[in-house]
Amino acid sequence: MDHLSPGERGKVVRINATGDLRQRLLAMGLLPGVEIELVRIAPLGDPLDFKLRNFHLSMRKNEARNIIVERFNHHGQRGRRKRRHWHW
Amino acid sequence: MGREAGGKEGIGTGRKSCRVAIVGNPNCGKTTLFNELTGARQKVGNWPGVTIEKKTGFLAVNNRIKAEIIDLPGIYSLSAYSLDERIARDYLLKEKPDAIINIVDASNLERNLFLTTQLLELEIPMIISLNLVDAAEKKNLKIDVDILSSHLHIPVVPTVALKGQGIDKITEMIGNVLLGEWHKKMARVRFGADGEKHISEAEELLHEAAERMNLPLRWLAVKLFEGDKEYELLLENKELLDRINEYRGKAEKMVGEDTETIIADYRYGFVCGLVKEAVTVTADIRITLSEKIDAVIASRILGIPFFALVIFLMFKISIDFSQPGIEYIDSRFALLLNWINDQLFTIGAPGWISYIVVNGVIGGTGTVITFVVPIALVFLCLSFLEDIGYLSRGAFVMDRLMHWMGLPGKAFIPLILGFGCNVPGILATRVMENEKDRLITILINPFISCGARLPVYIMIAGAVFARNVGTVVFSLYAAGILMAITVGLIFRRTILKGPSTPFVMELPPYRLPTLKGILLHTWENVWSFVKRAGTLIVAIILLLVVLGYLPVGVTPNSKDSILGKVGLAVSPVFKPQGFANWKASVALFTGLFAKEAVVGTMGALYGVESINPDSSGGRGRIKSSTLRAKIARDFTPLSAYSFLLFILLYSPCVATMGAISKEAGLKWAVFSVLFNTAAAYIISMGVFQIGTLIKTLF
Ligand SMILES: Nc1nc2c(ncn2[C@@H]2O[C@H](COP(=O)(O)OP(=O)(O)OP(=O)(O)O)[C@@H](O)[C@H]2O)c(=O)[nH]1
Ligand SMILES: [Mg+2]
Repeated sequence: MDHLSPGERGKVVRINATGDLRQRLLAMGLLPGVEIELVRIAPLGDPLDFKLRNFHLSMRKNEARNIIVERFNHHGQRGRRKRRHWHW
Repeated sequence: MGREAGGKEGIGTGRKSCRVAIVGNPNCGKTTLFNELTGARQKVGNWPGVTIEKKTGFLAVNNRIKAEIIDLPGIYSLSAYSLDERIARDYLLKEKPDAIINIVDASNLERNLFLTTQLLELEIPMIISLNLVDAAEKKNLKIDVDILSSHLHIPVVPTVALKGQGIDKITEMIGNVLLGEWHKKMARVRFGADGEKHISEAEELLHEAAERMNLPLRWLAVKLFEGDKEYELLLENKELLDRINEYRGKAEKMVGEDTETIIADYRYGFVCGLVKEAVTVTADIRITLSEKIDAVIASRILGIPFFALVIFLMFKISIDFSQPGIEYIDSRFALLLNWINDQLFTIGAPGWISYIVVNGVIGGTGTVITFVVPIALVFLCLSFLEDIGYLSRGAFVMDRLMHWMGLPGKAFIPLILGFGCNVPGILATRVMENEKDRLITILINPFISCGARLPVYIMIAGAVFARNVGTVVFSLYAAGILMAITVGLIFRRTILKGPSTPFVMELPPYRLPTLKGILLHTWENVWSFVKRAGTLIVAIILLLVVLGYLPVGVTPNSKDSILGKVGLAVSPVFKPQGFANWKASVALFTGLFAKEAVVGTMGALYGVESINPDSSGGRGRIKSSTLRAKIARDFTPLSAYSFLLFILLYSPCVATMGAISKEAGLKWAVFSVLFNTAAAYIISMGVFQIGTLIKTLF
């Protein structure tokens, strides 16, 4: 997720974080399939300001690195959030 | 308020007392609602063992029920990872309040309702306060309250806590719920056909355990299925745990995702579905006002200058504006001192009583009170910045710099405030969530050269270094900063080791704060400082005053007083540092009152006329030319520099000790005194010895 550039959007594919961080991200609704936009980078290059589910979340590159996103091809392309059905 | 609730069961005449917890995401208006509900009848304390605020207050729900309202810390979920979450979860599940008011931010429904889906599983009667509906309207969101209510099977009350709208309705609804009028089953999230199968199998196994652990069955089953560490440890029957983990393993293998994620996804799925039905977007706004503001003040170019401006203003307000206040209080106190002195004289009290009462008790109290002004102003600024939402932007902008020291961005403000006075600097660490980060920030704060040390630098450097006073003073400031950074890094790697906390922080939209909220918060902080730190400060000052006065008959604080004798006895200890004279040692003692007292003491001891007798005040006017000459005789430039370094680094003053003790505990205050003094001793010695060596070599 740290590879996005400001203004770029993508879809979360996988979260590699563990433990505390993972819990925190899940609670914030950062789940596979959710749409996310990198809004800006802090003046000193870190942390990053993301927008998802209509709110802003900032995190360090270190943390963002653990979240794999699939970049949208065109700026502003809207991916429909699909309800997922798990078969377990 | 106090409307008749149509309860059925008769509850006698006396008022029933109940407990109602306010639960919700951070920054959704919990404290504002709490203040509206409880008015002035509130109590602020801490949760046992931690510095997180615990607020309770009372609400007369109706003529049958009196409810104790508890303001829980803001949380995003009920997992047991962060301290806030653990406090909230323990309170809800162990203390079991009679009802929950779940505050939900209407302008950010999706994320807020995630927590709601967890609360629904706790089997505690609940109502929702759909707060910030005004903010939602500004975002052009129209929310159908009835749909929310009917889907969740609980009452939903739209509120604007800031303006007190909907408060009566909340009170009425709590009354209904507490009287047992609400017995409909609350909604629950279903985790898909397969998931439900696994969970109900787990429920079958867990009946007994849930009863013994006094937990709702489904909640326990779901949590164990997610692999909740706390409950896994609590579960005595390990065979059971193995069985459940087996289901978990199977499920995870099938889906290729861990159960935590799957469960969270179902919860969010439920919430998204609900939001889609209940919310209509009347007009799509792409960029909110908050985002427009951030595009300027958090931008790459303006972010840092704007932050610097904010800090500058805060500094200006809290330090400069407090000067007149301090002077006023000081002058009033001087009058009071004289008056009490006279009174004591007229009633014929012995001299020693007057001296100790006036200088120790009253003087000590005066010291505490002079700190009240800057502290109040700092908290006024901090509360304002926090409530309006700028504090998190400041953390965003400065995080990189602080991260380098192993600290989060929020540590910046307390450190900067330390330049004014370490006491508000230390109290300002309250905005930090992580305990270890907070402790480090507290412990390194005394190394930041506070305003009280500047007159000392100027006096001594002015006497000894003819031309380079500015350079010397600057180097001392720099040495303080360097020391703070070094010690911070050392602590992070040794005694306060810990995974550097992941930095994931919400940037909430800017919001207009209320004057009432800010004043209330400021008042709470000031009062708790006076109460807790104040007593320690007065006690220490009293001790030093007594030591300076005894034995009876000597000139206070002279060579013959206990303090002077101790100074004399102690002074050889400072031989390696090059300032083994008793006057310097006594000045270091009195410097514990307040660092600027060094100036007064040096003045008094170097026998300059026209100094007010109590050296602790340290505000006497000094004829500086003669004094300078006398001081210059006792110090070489090298020993003077080593003395100044010692003053910069050694034990924090009593007010700072009080603040550390209040925020981190007495243990850490003692640690700080010992550690800093040892560090000062070693560093001044190093500087003096190396300096002497260089001088002899060249
Ligand atoms: N516009 C608007 N602002 C509100 C409302 N309720 C609260 N606020 C503002 O929102 C901000 C946060 O309110 P708080 O009551 O401190 O929120 P909290 O949930 O206690 O926050 P934490 O204790 O940090 O979790 C303050 O600036 C309030 O003035 C509301 O209904 N409408
Ligand atoms: Mg609050």
